[in-house]
Amino acid sequence: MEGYRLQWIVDLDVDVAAVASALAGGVDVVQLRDKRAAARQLFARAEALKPLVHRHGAKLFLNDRVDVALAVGADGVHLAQRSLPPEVVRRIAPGLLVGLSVHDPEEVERLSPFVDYVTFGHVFPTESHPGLPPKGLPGLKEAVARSACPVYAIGGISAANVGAVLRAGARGVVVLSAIRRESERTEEAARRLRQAIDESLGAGRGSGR
Amino acid sequence: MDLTLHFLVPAERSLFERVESAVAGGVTVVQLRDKERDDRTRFEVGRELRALCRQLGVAFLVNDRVDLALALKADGVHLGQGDLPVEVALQLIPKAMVVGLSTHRLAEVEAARQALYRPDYLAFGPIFATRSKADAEPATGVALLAEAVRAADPLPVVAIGGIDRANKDQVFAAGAAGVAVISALLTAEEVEEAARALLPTGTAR
Repeated sequence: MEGYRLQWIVDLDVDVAAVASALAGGVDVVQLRDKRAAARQLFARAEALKPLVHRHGAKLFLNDRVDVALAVGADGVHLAQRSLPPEVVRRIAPGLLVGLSVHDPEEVERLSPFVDYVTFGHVFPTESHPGLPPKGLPGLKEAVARSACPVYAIGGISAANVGAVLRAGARGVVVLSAIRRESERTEEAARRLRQAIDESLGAGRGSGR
Repeated sequence: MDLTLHFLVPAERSLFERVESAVAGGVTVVQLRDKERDDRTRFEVGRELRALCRQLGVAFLVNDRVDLALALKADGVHLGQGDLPVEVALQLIPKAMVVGLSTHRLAEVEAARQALYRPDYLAFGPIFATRSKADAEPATGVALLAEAVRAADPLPVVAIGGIDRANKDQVFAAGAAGVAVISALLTAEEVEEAARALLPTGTAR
C-alpha cells in the first residue's frame, strides 16, 4: 500500500460518475461496502467500478466479502473484528491485499503483523458514531507507534485536519461523507483533501494528475 | 453426494448433539445456514461443526458464503438466486466442491439446466408453507415440484419448505432426489427417530 493516501468508502448507491470524479480529484483507493447488499449486487457493482478504478491507477477493495473480492479480481478486502480472521483470509485468498479496522492500540499491536494496513479510528467526532468518544490524535500516535504496518486514519477527516493526522504518523486517510457520493463537486472535495495530504507528505504516488 | 436428507442449521454449538442424532437417524447432508451471526462466529462455530461432520462421515455444505465454504474446507456451497452466480462460484472453488442452487419457479429451474455452467443439484421450494424463512416465496405445492423435477432433468432436485413426516411421501413421489428441512429436526424431541421418519418409505437403516 506504499504511496496510497486517500481511501473513499462507497456503497451500492454510489454514482459511477461520482467515483470517476473522485478518482480524478485524487482518491487512490475505493472501498465498496454495503452490509445490506446481496453478493450478486455487490459483484455487479464491483465489476462496473473496477475498470474505472484501475484506469486511474487506483485500487479497489471490497469490505468483508472475500468471495466477491476474488470473483471480481479486486485488489483487496477490508476486514473488521467480526469478519473472517486475517490469517484465514490470507490462506484462501493469497493474492489479495488485506486491510483491517482497529479501534485500540492493543488490537493494533496484536493484529497489524498479519495485514497490509490497518484503519484506526474514529479519530475525530463523526456522525457515523455519535455515542462513542473519538480516539483523538494521541490515540492515533500510539496506534502508529505500535503498528507493524501502515496506519490509515478514519473518522471526521477533513482537509482542515488531515495535516495534523499525517503529522501524527498516519500514512493516509479514509473518508466517507467528506466526499459526498452524488455531488457534482465530488472532484473538488477529493482534490481539496488530496492537496492537503500531498502538501503534508510531499508528492504521493499519484499527485499532479 | 447422497442428497436424500439435508439438515440446515445455524451456527450454534448447542445444536451439535442434535446434528449427531440427526445423522444417526439418516441425515446425509448438513448445511450451515446462518443469516444473522457475523462471519467470525460462523467461522469459529462452523470449524467445529465441520470437524464433527467429517468425524460422522456426513457431507458439510455452507450456504451463500463461498469464502466461508473455502475457509472451512466444506464439501460444497449452496447458493441462492441473489448470491454469487454459479459460474462465478465455480471459478473460486476446488473441483471436488459441490455447488447447489436454490430455485423457486420453473423459469429458474430451466435457466439453471440450460446454463453453460450448471450446479450439481437444485433446491426447489418452498413446497409447503415454512416458518423458517421470513421472506419466503408462496408455497409451490407438489404438482409444481413434479414439473420442476421434469424440467430440471438430469439435475437432481432437493425439495425444501415445510417438509415433515406427514408430507414427505408425496414429495418423494413427485420425484425429488431428496428433502431439506429445518423445523422438522430443529424442534423434534426424538431427533434420531424424526430424521428416520423423513427418509423415503422403505429405506433400510
